[in-house]
Amino acid sequence: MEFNLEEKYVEYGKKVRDFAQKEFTRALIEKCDNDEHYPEELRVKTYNEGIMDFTDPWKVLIGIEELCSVDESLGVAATTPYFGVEVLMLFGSDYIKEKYLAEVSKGKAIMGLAVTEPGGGSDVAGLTTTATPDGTHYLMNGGKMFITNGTIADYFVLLARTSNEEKRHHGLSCFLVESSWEGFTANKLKGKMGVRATDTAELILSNVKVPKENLIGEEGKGFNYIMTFFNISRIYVAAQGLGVAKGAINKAMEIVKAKGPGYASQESIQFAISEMATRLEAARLLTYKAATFLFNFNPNPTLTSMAKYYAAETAVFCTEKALEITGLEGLNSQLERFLRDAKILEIWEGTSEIEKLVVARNLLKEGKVS
Amino acid sequence: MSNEETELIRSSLDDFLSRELYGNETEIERTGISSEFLGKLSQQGFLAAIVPAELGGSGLDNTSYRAILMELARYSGSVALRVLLLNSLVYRILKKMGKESMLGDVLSGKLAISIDTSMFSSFAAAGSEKFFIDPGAPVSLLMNNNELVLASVKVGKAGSYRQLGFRGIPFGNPEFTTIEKIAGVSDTRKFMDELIPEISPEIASIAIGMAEASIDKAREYSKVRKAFGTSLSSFQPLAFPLAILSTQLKSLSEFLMSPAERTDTDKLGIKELATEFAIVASKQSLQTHGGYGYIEDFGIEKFYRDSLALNSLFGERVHSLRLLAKSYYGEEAGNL
Repeated sequence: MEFNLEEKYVEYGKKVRDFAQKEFTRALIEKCDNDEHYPEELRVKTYNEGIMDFTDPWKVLIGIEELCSVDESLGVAATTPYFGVEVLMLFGSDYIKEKYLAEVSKGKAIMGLAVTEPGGGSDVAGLTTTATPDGTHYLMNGGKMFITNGTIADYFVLLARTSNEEKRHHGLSCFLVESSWEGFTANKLKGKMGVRATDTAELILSNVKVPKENLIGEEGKGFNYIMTFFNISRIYVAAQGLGVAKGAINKAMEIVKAKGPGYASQESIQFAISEMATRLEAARLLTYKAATFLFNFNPNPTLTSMAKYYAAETAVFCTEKALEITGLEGLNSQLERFLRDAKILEIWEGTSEIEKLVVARNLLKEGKVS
Repeated sequence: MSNEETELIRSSLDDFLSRELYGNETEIERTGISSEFLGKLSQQGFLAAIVPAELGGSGLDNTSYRAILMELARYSGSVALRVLLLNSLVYRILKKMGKESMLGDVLSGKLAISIDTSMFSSFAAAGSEKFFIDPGAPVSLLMNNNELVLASVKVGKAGSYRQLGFRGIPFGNPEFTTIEKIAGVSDTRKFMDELIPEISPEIASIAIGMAEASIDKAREYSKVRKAFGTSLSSFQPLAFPLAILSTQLKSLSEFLMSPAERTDTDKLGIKELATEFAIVASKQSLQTHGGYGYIEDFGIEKFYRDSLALNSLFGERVHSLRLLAKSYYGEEAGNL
């Protein structure tokens, strides 16, 4: 059993960390946090310098952790231009891949994934946006909520209802929708507690004409495609959690040491550091184990959901604990932003409650744990 | 004061706040507490709640004061903190310094006083940035060579922070061009260590108020919000924690509102329990609200932010716990 990363990944992690420490300046982080905006030039720079290397999923995982250890908000914003591409790669037709995926891969277009609706977040199968066949098109009507890249994405993978089946999830299908199409409106949601550099929007679809060739895969299989996607994306959300936890612990230790040896020697402070670091290590092992299954084309949804919720809770635990042991200095440092950013990890891409249900139902079906 | 009397105070205050503050809580977070609203708080006697009547205050007892803080915090942590700062801190410090004569101007809003939060810190990091409340004020309660002093100051630049919590009150890192001492507290550390137990139940009151509002909002939301064809309250992972939290809340609240004389151990202990409880309760409320809870407009996430800020604003938790342990053992304890 080998626990050390290969040298190429260590080097890659260093490259990404150096990039983030150089480019994510305190002034830029605070400006983006205040303005709720992600600078386009940083997105281009991230792409041009090969910071997100999608040819190797381990590099994506490590890259996300390193970026988020400096700043989750900018780190996530740097990686989400590709949000949802896996659905196109796995299930898209050649036409879709050539027309859309190629543009995104070249950094010329931004992607988004539109699943959540105003009336239901966790209840994916309960969505009400419809796509009704109309000659050579589908007519799409409905609304989406909390959509990452909502006002900046060029293309969306969008889940809509194409039929009313007895089993609700059988009536859902995925489409590639262009934001420039008539009837598509995006309203930016301002005032998020954290991850404020990321773009989040409400989408309104009013008789949007979606060409039939923009159906992704088969009609009625959309729910399965999205769940497959979540089994991938949740690993990356776990990596976001690892990054936030790591950044928070390192900052907390820096402040604790600056408060002098008399403070650093307090055993309650030392216990807090031990607990944070232990949880991070456990979350990382779990995440890497789930990732190993996934990256070997043998995804394990149980492990993936364990990793996602545990890493998210670890990030929240560590940011809260880091703030607690650093007092006023912590309050007046990037720790407050780490904390605001961390909480969303327990909500997006499946709440912790949903992840725990996935874990339990899979285990009960198997009747044993490994 | 009996429970009925406390409830009466809270109820009448709730009427006032639902009329004057309800709907404006988010605006306060964005633009601060307006002087108009402060004037109304002053008219109601909240700004000088525990200040004796002969000094122009309301002269309320501790239980009434805690009830006020709790009720204010249900709407706005910033407003509650503002009332706490004036009563629990400024009044008591000026009294210690023999400068009660300045209270009239402070409480009428004619004179603003900045507060150096490092007065609570026992382990300040060398070279760390200052963290003042109301950094632009012309008079300051600040730490100068380990002494808490009242000083007339000239502020070159007030500075400002993006704050985790209590955004209705400005925090900053002021540059003072002149500092002229008016008065001081000779044995500052001893005074602060005596002050911390006094203000602890008052801090706890704010924590409990925020927790109560968080739990109430989560309960209401989970009753009307549906998922998988039924209300959120049907689901054990959401209903059970809220039900347990409401029982914990009641216990803490009753302890806090009891007129019984409390020891320092009780005072320090209830603050630890209440501030931690507020974090747990507000986090659970946010989680119950899902994505909507993460958006400022819905008024949920601020309770989580404020709870965490409250836990750090009055110095290192380890110092407060050391005072608690010392009081509990009756001798030095928990030093290592």
